[in-house]
Amino acid sequence: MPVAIGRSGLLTILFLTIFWAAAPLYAGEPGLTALLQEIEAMLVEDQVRYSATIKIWGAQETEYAMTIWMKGRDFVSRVERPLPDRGTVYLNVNRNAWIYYPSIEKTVKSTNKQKILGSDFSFTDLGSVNLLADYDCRIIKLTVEEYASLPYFNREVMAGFPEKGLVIEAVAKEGKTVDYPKIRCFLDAGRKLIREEFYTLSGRLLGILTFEDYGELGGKMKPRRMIMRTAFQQERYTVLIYEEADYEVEIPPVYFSESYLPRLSRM
Amino acid sequence: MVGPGRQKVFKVCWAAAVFFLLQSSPALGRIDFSGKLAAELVYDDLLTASAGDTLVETVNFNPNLKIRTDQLAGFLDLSGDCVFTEDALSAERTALTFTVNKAYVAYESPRWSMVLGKNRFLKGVGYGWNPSDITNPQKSPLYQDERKRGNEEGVEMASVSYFGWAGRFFYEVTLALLPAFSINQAKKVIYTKFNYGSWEGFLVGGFQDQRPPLYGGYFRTAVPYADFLSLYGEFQSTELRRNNKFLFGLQFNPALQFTGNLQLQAEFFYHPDGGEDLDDYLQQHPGLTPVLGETLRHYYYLAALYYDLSSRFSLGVMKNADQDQSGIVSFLYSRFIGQEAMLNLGGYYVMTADARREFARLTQRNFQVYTGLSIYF
Repeated sequence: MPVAIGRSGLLTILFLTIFWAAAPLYAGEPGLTALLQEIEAMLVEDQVRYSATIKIWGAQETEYAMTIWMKGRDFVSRVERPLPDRGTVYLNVNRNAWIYYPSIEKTVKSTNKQKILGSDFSFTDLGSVNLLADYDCRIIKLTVEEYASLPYFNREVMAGFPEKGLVIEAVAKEGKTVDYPKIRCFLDAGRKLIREEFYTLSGRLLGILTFEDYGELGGKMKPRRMIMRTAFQQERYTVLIYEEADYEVEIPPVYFSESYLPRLSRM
Repeated sequence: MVGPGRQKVFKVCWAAAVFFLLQSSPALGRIDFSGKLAAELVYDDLLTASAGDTLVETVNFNPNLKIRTDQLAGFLDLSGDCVFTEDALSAERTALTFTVNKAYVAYESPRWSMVLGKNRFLKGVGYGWNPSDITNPQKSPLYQDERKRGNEEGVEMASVSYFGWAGRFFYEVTLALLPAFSINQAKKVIYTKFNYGSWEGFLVGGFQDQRPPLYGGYFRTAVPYADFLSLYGEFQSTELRRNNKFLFGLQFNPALQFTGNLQLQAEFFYHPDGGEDLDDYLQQHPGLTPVLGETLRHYYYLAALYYDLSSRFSLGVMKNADQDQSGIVSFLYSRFIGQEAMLNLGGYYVMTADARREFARLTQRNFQVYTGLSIYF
């Protein structure tokens, strides 16, 4: 027996259809936006000065001590040690990058894809990717085989991860210029970010960033050690260790200007 | 006019500023003493057959003193060199030299900066040449290791700079006064530098008594939709009509394909108002040391590679492109040893090392290699 549907019924069906089509991002994945906001709040500060160490492990082991001033994703960092490199300054502002070399007293234009100090961290990696603004995110399930095949998968940290952990896949929004078209974020049972994998759109792995040693840093709970591995150099990796953080520091806007770098270098 | 009388006033002011800084620093600020001790061995083949090969051993001591209070800072950078030279004629010479590279006092706040003393403050963006640098003595572009380009590092000056910003637009305006100097140098300078997004711009004017004004400038920007490429250019001109020099450059940063920092550069330098012949130039400018690219009417090309992977490597090829057709290949390798030392190995080879050719005449050598160990403290 045919069922007559009135105008209001049609509108209801239309509304439900639109809601159903738009919902997959969030339906069944409650709190995804909140999770992304928590990641953002943990990695990005309105204003902070860090004392940090970068250790490059490979054929030649090199260690750098740095001071990093950050406002959001913009940062300027100065090398304190080793002494031959003291005063070298890296500036990343609004996806533009420069390096100031005190030995030649020149600022060289760089790109935010370039690696800092010959390490495995690029300017973008240090400033953090913007999952909320630049990516469409969804929660995905990996098979046991996929978990088993993950490179540099720390078995102790990942114990019980397939059951209790969470994997977020982020694909760059259309029209967004990003360095990593696809990212997978691994959150542990406590929903702390422990690993990010960076991919090309075709699925080729570019790098793996792990977040370790969660603890108090300047009064906030943060990962104090980050390890970056690139897919191009299997034997080498770079460790970034945050030692101190000062969130009360007042950073003048001019710190993020290319012409101020020589002054920051000799401070 | 900025003459010898003004220079005395300048030095008295400088001494007073140093005294004031030393008075105030123990209570308010910190004192950093740093520097380096370097030993270097240079072997080269002199162009003129009579002199033959030379071996130069150098011991360099380069102490730096930095005194800093909240807003006042003092910098002193000295060099002492003990040079031992031995050539094919068995002539041995030892020389001891001392140089004040920098000695200045600065007042610095986020908005203002005032500098009094000897300093180097204009640099440009070019790799081989910097025509927009109208205050410092011109340097030879032959070396990739800029510390080897000459001892004339800075100029005596008094400058006031204002740093301003509006959102992401940053600018700097600087007025500078340079006491009496050589014929090539401007004595009153005003420049502005600005930066918005990836765009950088710089304009400078230099004014001397009884001499035409000198202008210069540069720009640099990332190429839209291809931020791995940067374009830049520099110029210098007298009264915007004569003695023009132009530089255009392209820098390539092929980032993600490599671990570390790789950079490739290509530059083109043109000096349309230069002379035809080096001998003519030397006759017309007695006493002036000719610098490559500054003397002749030449087109020059440069290709350079820089790779930073914990240790650094750079390689450059520079060539002129008219009748002379000479050029030079240079390289530099630097490697950290621990946290306090660096080992350098570098050198150059002159292509078409004919004594009449420009590159060979300016270097007076067919090739040079050098190695050195620097210990920093």
